[in-house]
Amino acid sequence: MNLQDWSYDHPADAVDLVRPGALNSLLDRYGSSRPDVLTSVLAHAYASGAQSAVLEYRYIDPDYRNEHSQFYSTTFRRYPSVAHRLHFFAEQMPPTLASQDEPTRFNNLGYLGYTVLRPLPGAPVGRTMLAPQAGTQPHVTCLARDAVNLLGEPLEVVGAPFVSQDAQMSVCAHATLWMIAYYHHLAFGGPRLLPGDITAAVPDDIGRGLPSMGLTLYQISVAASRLGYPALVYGLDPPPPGESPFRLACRYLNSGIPVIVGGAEHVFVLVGYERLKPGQPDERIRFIRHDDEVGIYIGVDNYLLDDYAPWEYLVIPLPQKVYMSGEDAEVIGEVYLRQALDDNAAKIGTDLRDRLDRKPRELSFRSTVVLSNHFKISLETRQVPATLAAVYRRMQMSRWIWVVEVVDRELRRLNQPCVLAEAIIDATDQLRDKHVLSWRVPGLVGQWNPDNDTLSHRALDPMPPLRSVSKADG
Amino acid sequence: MVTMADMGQPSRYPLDEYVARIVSGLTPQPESERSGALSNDRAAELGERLRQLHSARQLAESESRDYPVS
Repeated sequence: MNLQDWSYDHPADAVDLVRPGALNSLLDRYGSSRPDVLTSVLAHAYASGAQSAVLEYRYIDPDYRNEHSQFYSTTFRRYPSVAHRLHFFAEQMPPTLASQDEPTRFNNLGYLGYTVLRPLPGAPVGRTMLAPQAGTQPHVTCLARDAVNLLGEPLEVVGAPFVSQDAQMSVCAHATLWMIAYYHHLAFGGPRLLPGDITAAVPDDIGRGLPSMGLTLYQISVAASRLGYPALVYGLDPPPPGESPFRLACRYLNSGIPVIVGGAEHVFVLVGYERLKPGQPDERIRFIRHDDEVGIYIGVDNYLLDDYAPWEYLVIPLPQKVYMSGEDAEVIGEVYLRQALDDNAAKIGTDLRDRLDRKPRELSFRSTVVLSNHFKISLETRQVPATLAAVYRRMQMSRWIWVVEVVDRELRRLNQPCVLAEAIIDATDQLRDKHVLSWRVPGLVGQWNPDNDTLSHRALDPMPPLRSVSKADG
Repeated sequence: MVTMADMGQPSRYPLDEYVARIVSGLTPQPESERSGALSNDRAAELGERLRQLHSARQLAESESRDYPVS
C-alpha cells in the first residue's frame, strides 16, 4: 500500500456499483494481499441490491484510531491514522450530488449500511454494519440499530456488527469480543468498548498480549467478564445432560444474545438461525454466523460438516444482571409449570398436562431472557389479552427475566401464535431457593411475591395461543 | 414554612384521600392452598437436574481453559 494514495483533497466519491468493473476496482484499491473478507462484504452488499456507494475519505473511526494509537503508531512502518468508510445504497446517487451549490442528500436512497476500510494491508475490513439480505433478515435474531452521519445526513442501519481481525492487535478472539461488545452497546446500552479496551481486558499471564498470537478460551472468558459480560462456557463433547448444541445456542439467540462457538482452534459468532424443513423427520437448524476471517451472515447448513467441525465449545457473554443460565431457567420453569398444572387440574382440566407428556412430542419448552420492560411493552404488539396484560404490567419484576414458554410445535411450524403457558423467572434469582415470579396456565395466572413469600392468583378467561417473546419466528 | 414543631405531627393532608389505588388484581392464596409451591418430589427432581447441569458446566469451564484459538 502506498501511503500517498490514502489522502484525497475531496471529502468523498460516489461509486456506481452497476458499472462493470466497479467491484474489481474496489477490490484492487482496498483488498490488498488478503481480499477474502472484503470480497464477502462487497458480495453481501451486491446481493442486498446495492446499486451505488459513497466512499467517505479521512474518516476518523474510533475503533481504528484506537488501534492506531495503541499499536500502529508504535511500529517503524507507517500507517495513516484515518480510515475510509464505504456506504452502500439500494438506489443510484442523484445528479445533484455533484453540485457544489446543493447540500449533500442521501435520504430515501435505501441505505444498506457501511464498512470501515482500514489502511492495513491484509486486514482492510474494520467496523461494519450491514443489514442482512431480505431472505435472511427474519432469522437474524441479534440485530441492533446503528446511527450514521454521512456528510451531514443522518442515516441508520439495522444489522449485526462485524469486524475482521488484523492478526496483530486482534485475532479471532478479540474480533469476536468486539462484535459482542458493540452489539450489546447498541442493543442494550452497554459501554462503547474499543479494541484497546478488549486487549487490556485479556489476562496476560499466558503469551504475549500485543501483538497477539492467539488466546485461550479461558482468556476469552476472563476478558468478557472484565468487559462487563460474564460468560458461560458449555462443552459440546458431550453437551450437558438433556441438552444439544441447538438447544443451548438457540435459547440465547432467541433472546437476541450472540453466541461464540469454538471449533478447530478458531472462534466465530452466531447471530441467528433458521429452522429448515420444520416438522419433518429431517428438520435441522441452519445457523447464521459472522466469521472474522471469512465474512458476514454466513449460513451453516450442517454444523457437523462445517469447516470448523467439530464444534467443541459455546461461550456466551451475558449482560451483568443475568445470573441464571438458560438451561437452569428452563428446568425451573418446566417443573413449576407442571406443578401448577397438577395443583389446578380440578379447575382447569388436564388437557395441557396430558399433552406435555404425549409422544411424539406435541409441545416443547422455549426459554428466552428479556428485559422486563421490553416484555411489558411487547404485551400489546403480541396481542396478549387485556386481563393478562393487566396482571403482567402491574407486576414488579427484575430487570432481566427468563420467560419459559410451553410451545405448540405444530403452530410454531406454521408461524402462528403458539404459546400455551409460561413461567417468568427472576434472572438474578438464587438457585438454593428456587421460585418463579409468575406462572400462567390455561385459565389461571399466579404470582409469587419474593418480599413476603406469598402466592396469589387470578382466574383468566380462555384465550387463544399467544405470540412468543422469542426473537425467532413463531 | 415548616418548623421543627411540625415534624412528626399527623399530616393535615393524608395522601390516602388523594390517591386511586393501583392494585394487582390477584387474590392472595391462603397457606393451606399453596398452589404453585413445589411438592417435595418435584423439588428433589429439580435439585437433581440442576446439579447435573452445573457439574457439566463446571467440567466444561475447567477443560476449556487451555483451548487455543486464533
